[in-house]
Amino acid sequence: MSRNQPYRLECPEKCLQAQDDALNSTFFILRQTGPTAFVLKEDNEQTFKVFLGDQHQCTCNVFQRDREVCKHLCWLLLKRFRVPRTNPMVWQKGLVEREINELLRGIVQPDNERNKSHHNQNTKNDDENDGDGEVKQRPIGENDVCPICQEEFLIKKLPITYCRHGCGNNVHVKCMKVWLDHQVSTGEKTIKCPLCRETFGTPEQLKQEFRTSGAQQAEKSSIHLGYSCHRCRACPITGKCYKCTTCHDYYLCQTCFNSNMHNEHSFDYREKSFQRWKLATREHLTALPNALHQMLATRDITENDYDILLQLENAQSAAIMGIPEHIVKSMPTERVHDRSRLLQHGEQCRLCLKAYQTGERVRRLPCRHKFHIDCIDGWLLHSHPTCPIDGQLVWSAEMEMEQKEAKRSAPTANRNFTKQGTSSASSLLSVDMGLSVTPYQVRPLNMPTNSDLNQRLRRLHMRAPLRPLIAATTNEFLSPLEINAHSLGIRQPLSSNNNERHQSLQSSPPFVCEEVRRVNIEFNQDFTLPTTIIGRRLLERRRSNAK
Amino acid sequence: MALKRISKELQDLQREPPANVSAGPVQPTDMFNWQATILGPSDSPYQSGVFFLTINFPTDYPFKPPKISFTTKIYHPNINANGSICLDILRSNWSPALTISKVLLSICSLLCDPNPDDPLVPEIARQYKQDREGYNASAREWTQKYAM
Repeated sequence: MSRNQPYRLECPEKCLQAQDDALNSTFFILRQTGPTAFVLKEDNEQTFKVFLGDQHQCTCNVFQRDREVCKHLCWLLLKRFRVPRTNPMVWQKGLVEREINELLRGIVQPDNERNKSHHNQNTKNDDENDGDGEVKQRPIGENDVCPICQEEFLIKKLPITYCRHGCGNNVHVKCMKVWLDHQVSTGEKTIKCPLCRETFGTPEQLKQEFRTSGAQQAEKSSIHLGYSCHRCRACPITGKCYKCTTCHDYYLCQTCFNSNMHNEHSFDYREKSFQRWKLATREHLTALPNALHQMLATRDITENDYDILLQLENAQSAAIMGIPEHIVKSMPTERVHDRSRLLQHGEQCRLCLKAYQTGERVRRLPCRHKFHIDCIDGWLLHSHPTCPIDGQLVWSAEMEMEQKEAKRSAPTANRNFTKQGTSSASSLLSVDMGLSVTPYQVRPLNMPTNSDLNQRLRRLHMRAPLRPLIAATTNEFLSPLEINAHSLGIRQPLSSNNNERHQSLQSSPPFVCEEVRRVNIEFNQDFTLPTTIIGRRLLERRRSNAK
Repeated sequence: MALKRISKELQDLQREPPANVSAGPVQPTDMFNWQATILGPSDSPYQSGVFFLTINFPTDYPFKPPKISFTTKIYHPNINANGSICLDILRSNWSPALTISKVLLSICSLLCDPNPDDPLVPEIARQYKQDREGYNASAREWTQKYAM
């Protein structure tokens, strides 16, 4: 069969340019009106009817004017039919029947492309085969949205899944689960990708993925999804969430609310996302615990109070600092091996939302959550001292200092803790031991000596006012320490009821008596402040550990 | 989820309005009932007509398709006198990845290229196949009468 259009050996300059244009632009196939006839639409512009045949046709202006292969024709050949750019078919003005047939049968596609599409067809019939024939996950761009809820992926960082047998596009696991439930309720057996309509997997696979990805955990009620703090831009807000009663869509987190931000309006707050909003009373100068404020307000300010007063300003800035590099680097890492649990469907790094690959390195935080090393290091080093999933404090300056002291005083006991990376646990232990005034507490075998204790106590005491305090606005809870100290009369001046207290100590074992007396002496050199602070911090630590 | 996604789509429509179509809630308080307009595509007999449509979102949108129908009378093989549209993506082939703007664009392309093989009004489909000129003339006439 002869050619309708003369065969061209060389690709003309205009055609090369059209190919470049085609590869850089996006068209949508609105309709396929025939095997080689398409209606294309360019982004927000008009539609074109494009036809490949013995004489190509396109309704665009360029083609109508020059009768030369336009970018729409190039796009169809290069992208739709995947003809390599080097193939002379791309720059012909028309094709003979044999060439059209080749196009339709996909013979001109590069080898690997063809194998892949064949493989896809196999997996289509055989859903169990989730090994080799899988499509790669598409990289997630900044503006990419979930096709179902249309939310940007990288803002809330909810776990995602992707179309493994078709297009590789990403979808939130949660959205896919709702779609699955809906499809199952209408009697569908398999679930299709909402984008390419390929089989997405069986309902069981998807449900399993939903469980492993931890999509349910994200709904923890103390995390207020969808609310971002107006000041520090933390999103979602965790802990208490404050809402301005006057302004529309104005929310603050606990820290920013405490900093007297936006104090011209009153606020409502709630602690759990299912609770009702309650009126929040704003405490002034809440950077320090209430008891401390009251004390400062009622008594004379002395020279010793200088640090506490500084603290009023510093508490906020100190609370949101990053973690030093050497600390981050010291957290345990591991390499993803062939049979790692991290390779299960649904497991993913919750920072970049990508599935783990064999050979990648992940870092484990004390809360046992794992992330890609690059992702988590960036997060921790730049102003987030917390785990991105549960918000647990990973490291802070005072935890570090306590840990060091604990190491120094009881090296053998604490080595295990530091090895496991549970820095919070070891620091808690150190505070516990340092102030073990509970009469019936059994002394551990390698309990530090009294002089050690004393030294540590003094250091704690001296340092206490300097530390960044986690602002606690509630004082209805008293730590066991505070109660003990209180019942033993530590808060009262030594001179006034010395005898009385000695009487109360008669019943307790002698070595504890000695300790308590030392504690008293320590505290009476200054006012009784440190007990409150340490107790409060201890309580806070316990609470966060209990979580 | 439905309300959130509908508001999100409205935002996107306002930020990047697609060519030749517009859509929005009838009343700002009720996000589940929208009105949309489609300008007749220039390469069709519906050219320069303005067609109104109503959109009703089900409460489990986007998992169920929205109900879309023409309120302006139109002469088309796939759209009947009640304004019902015969389009697969609005029924069996619905996907939650579709948005209102994509659906309206599909309706636009349906106006350009009717599908006479799956008709809702068989007489118009027959005419479209056998007497294209007659179909074009009638469609133009209806457009002038009802959509201008």
